[in-house]
Amino acid sequence: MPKPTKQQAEALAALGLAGDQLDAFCGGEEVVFFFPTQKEPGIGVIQLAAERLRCGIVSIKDPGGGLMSLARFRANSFRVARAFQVTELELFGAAVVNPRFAELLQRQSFVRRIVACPDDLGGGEMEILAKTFEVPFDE
Amino acid sequence: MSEFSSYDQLRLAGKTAAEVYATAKAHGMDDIRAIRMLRTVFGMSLGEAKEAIGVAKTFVEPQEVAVGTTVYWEGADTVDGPWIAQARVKKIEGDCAVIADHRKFLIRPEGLVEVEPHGLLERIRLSYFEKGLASRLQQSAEFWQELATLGYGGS
Repeated sequence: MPKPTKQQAEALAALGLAGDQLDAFCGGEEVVFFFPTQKEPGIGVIQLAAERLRCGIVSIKDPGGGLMSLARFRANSFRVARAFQVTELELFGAAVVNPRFAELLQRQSFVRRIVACPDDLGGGEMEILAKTFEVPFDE
Repeated sequence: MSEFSSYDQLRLAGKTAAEVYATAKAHGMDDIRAIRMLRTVFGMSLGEAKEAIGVAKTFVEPQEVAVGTTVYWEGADTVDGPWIAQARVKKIEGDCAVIADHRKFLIRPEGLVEVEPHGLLERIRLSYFEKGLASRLQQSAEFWQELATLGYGGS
């Protein structure tokens, strides 16, 4: 199983992955993890698949600092994508429960899709709102 | 015996999902396991389990504003682009929060960049903080548009 480089490990740790989750992620597993917010930890999902990194938010409970937490999650996701030199980053929200937020994401070209739900979250299927971004590389 | 049999007993005793979740939290269960537990015990979808653990409230409930709490607001201008600010509530005067210890973060491709908090308000009407996150996000649509394209689609 490939071990993360120092840069990769730091990027994953900044996002919120810890301990065995780093090796699981590097081995291609879909990892459910807690990410830091301004209040209580949120829940994220991340997976490396060939040239694409998939990274999404399942849950966030941070009414005041939510914008800051979302922006930080996004930036840290791009940091992981760059560290692993993938060309695409798919960002998504899983089972988005607020209709106004769902509508906002769709206006930003996030698209609804049904995908498998990680076993850690009970398995089955889940609906996501996803958008794929190109990943710029540092010079 | 199922991993969550004790919680299934609560369901059979007539407890709601929210009540079972509260019990699980009191037992020290984290939210990843709690979502799995609720879906297993109540046969919920992921979205239903999220509602049961209170995620939906995040998008509609107001910010907590009391002396000592941290409050957040956001804006955008032609110099700095989109930014997020935070400050500590020093006191409440009438319908305003008097705030101190300001911090300002620019939203840049590399992440949030902290800058000197020049020009930020020292008093903000309490009514501002009554807006839920979904409302703030909606009202900041341009902010999100910029966030979505800021440096990531170009060279």
